[in-house]
Amino acid sequence: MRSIRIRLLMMLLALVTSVVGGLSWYVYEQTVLLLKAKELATAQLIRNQFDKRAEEYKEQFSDRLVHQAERLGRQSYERVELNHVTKLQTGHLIGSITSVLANPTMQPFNIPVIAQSLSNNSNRMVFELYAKRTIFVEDRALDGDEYFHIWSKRASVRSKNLPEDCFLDQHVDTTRLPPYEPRVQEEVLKCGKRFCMITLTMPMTYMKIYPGMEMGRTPMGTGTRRNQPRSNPSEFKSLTSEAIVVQIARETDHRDQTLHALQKEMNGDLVSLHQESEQVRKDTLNRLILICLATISFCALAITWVSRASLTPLVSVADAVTDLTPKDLRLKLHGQELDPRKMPEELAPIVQRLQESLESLDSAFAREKRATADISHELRTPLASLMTTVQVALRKPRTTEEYKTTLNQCVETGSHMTMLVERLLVLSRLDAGVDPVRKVPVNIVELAGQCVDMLRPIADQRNISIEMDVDDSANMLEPQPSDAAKLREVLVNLIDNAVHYNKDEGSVTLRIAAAPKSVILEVIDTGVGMTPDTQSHLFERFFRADPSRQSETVNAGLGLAIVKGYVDLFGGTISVSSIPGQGSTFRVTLPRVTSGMPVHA
Amino acid sequence: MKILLAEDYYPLARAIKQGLEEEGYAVDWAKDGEEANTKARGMPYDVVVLDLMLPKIDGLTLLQGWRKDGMSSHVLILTAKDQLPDKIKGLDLGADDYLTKPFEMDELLARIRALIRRGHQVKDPILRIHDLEIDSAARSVKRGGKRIHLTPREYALLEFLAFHRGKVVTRPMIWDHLYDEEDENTSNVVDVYIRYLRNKIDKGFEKPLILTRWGEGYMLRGEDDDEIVATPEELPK
Repeated sequence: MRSIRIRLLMMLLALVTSVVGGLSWYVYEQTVLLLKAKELATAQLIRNQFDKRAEEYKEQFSDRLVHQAERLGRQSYERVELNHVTKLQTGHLIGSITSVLANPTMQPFNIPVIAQSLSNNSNRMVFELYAKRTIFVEDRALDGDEYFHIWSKRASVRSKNLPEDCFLDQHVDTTRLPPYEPRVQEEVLKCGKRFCMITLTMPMTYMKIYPGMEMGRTPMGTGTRRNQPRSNPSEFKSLTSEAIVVQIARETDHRDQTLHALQKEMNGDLVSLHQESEQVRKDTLNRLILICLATISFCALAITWVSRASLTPLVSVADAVTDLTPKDLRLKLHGQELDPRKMPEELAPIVQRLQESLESLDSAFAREKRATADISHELRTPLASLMTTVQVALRKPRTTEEYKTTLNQCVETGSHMTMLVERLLVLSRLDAGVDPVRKVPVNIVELAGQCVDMLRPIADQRNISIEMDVDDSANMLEPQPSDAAKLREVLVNLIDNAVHYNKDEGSVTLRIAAAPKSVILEVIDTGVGMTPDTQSHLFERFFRADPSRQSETVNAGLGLAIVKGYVDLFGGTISVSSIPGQGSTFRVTLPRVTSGMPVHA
Repeated sequence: MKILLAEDYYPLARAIKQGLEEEGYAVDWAKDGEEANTKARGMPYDVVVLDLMLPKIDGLTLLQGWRKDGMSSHVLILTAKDQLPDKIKGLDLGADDYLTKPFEMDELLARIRALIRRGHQVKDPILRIHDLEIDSAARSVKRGGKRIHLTPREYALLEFLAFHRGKVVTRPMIWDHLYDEEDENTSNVVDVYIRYLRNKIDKGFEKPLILTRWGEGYMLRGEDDDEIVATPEELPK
C-alpha cells in the first residue's frame, strides 16, 4: 500500500474534487438555466418587438391604403352624361347635346323637362335622351403597384393597370360595411399576385360639374345651369344619398420583402442572442473549470502541506524506528531520545509502549547476551580442566593406575559439566514454558523431611545442624497437588544454600506452616547473610553472592533462578530477608488447595 | 622455579599443578583470593598464574594491590573471560601475560618459560656457561657438545643456578625454588641433588662448573671465575 500521506492526499483530493465539482456543476446548471430563461425572455422580447414593428408597418401600409381609399373616395363622383339627341322623326339626326351631370340623383327627372322644353321648339323633332353614368376620379395619383376599384350602384371604375383577370374582390358585401369603416383584407388574386386590399364605403358627398368643356358643347345655353351649383352648393349636398365603395389594393411584395427583411433581422438577432448566451455559457464553464482546477491544485498543495505537517511526528517515529539497531534500542531522532510527553497525544501512547517494549527487549537482549557469556564462561573452566587433565596425562607415559586416576578426574569434571548443562536446560525449558507441572498429591511435610535427611550428611561435615519446625497448622495439612520432583528440587536447593553459606557449627531450620489459603515454607540459616543489593539480584541467573566456585560443587548461580522458576510455576511466591553476618530467611509461599483432594491423616 | 597457582576450581588446579610439577616447577596452590594474596606476598614467586574470578578477593583486585606494593613477580592471567576489554584491563593493571580457558598445556608452559626468561633478563632461550649449553625451551642440557640427560628436578636446579651464575645461592633459596609447600623439608635434600647434578655435569670434565661456597651455598661458575680452583669436594667422585 502506498504511504499514508499519499493515501490521505488522494482521499482528501477526491473529497475536495467531488465537492468542488458538485458545486461547480450546480453553479453551471443554474447558470445554464438562467441563461436559457434570459435568452427565452429576450427572444420573446425581440419577437414581440418584431411583431410590433411588423404590425406597425402593416398598419402603416394599410393606413396609407385607407388614406388613399378615403382620398379616392372623396375625389370620386358619379358622372352622368346626358346625351340629348335631336332627331327628325325620320330619324335624321339634327343635333345632340351632351350634358354632364354629376348628380346621380338628378337624372331622368329633369330630362323630360329638358326634353319638353326642347320639343316645344320643334314638333317634328324627336328627342332622345341618353344618360350615361360613370365614376370619375379627379386625382388618381397612385403608386405603380396600387390599384383601385370604385363602384356605386350604377357605375364603377377601376385602374387601368390592373390586369383584366385580376379583378379586385367584388364579393364584398358592401351593405354590411358601415361607412368610413375600412375593411382590410389580404388577398391573393387570380393572377397570383398578393395584395393588401382595402374596402371602404363612404357616401358621395358632393359632385362637380365640369361645364367648361362639356357645357360648351351643350346646345342649351345654360347659363342658369352653370350658375346653379355655384350659387347654391348646399343644394347638391342634400343630394348625397348614394354610397360609393372604394376598393384599393396594393401589391404586398414590397411590403412582404420589408417584413421578410425585418424577420431576417429578428432571426439574426435571435441567432446572435443565442450565440451570446452560448458564449456566456462557455465562458462560465471555462471559468468554473479554471476555478475548479485552481481550487483543487491549491487544495492539493494545502493538503500536502497539512498532511506533511500532521504526519511529521509519525514520520519522526518511523525514522526513529528505522534507525533502531540491535545495539541501540532507543528511539532517537537527530541523536535525541524521543520524549512521549512531547509527542501528539495520539502518538504518545504508541511511542511510550514502543519504548517500553524496546526497553524490555533491550534488557532481554542484554540478559540473553549475559546469559550466553555466562554459560560459555561457566563451561570454559570445566572444559579447560578436562583438556588440561588429558594433556598433562598425555605428556609422558603413565602407569595404568595413573591413567585410571586421570580418567576418573575426567569423568568427575564431565559429570559436573553435565549437571551444569542440565540446569541450563531446566532454565531454558522454564523460559520456553514447556516444563509442565505433573501434579500428584504430595505430603509436603514428608517431602521436606526427605530433603532434610538428604542434606544432613553434608551439613554434618561442617557441624551444621538442620532442624525441622513443623507448625501445628501444618500437621493437619492435607496432601497438596504439586510436582514432587520440582518441589524437592526447590527445597534441596534452598537447604543446600543454607548449609553452603552457613558458618561452621551454624544451624539451618526448615519451618513449615499452613495458612487457610497457603502453605508457607521457610528456610532459616545462621550464615553470612546478604546485603540488600545482593538480595535484589539473588534470583537472577548466574548471579552469585560470592563469585567463587567452591571446588567441585555445582554452583553456577543457577540454583535460585531455578527455584524461583519452579515456585512461579506452582503459582507461589518466594522472598528473602537477610541481615549481613547474621543469616538469611527464604520464604516460599505456595497456594493451598483445601478441597477436591482426598484427605489422609 | 617457583610458581603460584591461584585457581578456585579444584580439578583444573590439580591438573595444572601436576603438569607444571612434571616439568620440574615447584607449584603452590591458592584456592581463593585471600590465600593467593598471603602466599604471593610471602615469597618471591617466579610466576603467578592468576584466575580472575576468585572467591573472597578477585584476581584483578589482587593484581592491582600487588603492583601498587611493588611486587615484581610475573603474573599470567588464566581466565575464562575471553573478551578483549577484559584482556586489556588485565594487561593494563600489570599482568605480564593473558591466557584464556580452555588452553593448551604446551602453550601455558611456553608462556611460563618465556616469563621466567624475562625475569632473568635473558632473551636467548639457550644459556651458555663455558662449554655448558642449557636449552631452556627444550629443557635439554649439553656439555662439550655432549647431551646430558637430567631429571626435571635436576634440570630445574641447574637452570636456577644458571640464572644466578656467578652468584652464591643459599640452600633455602634452592629449596624454595625446587620444592612446593607440601614437600617435606629434609636438611640434606639440596646437597643430594647438587651431588646428582655434579655427577652429570662436571664428571669427566676438567673444569668443575658447580662450586661450593662454604657456609653460604652453591654457585655456578661465572665468566670471570677462571682463577677459582675447585676444592676437592667439588670434584665429582
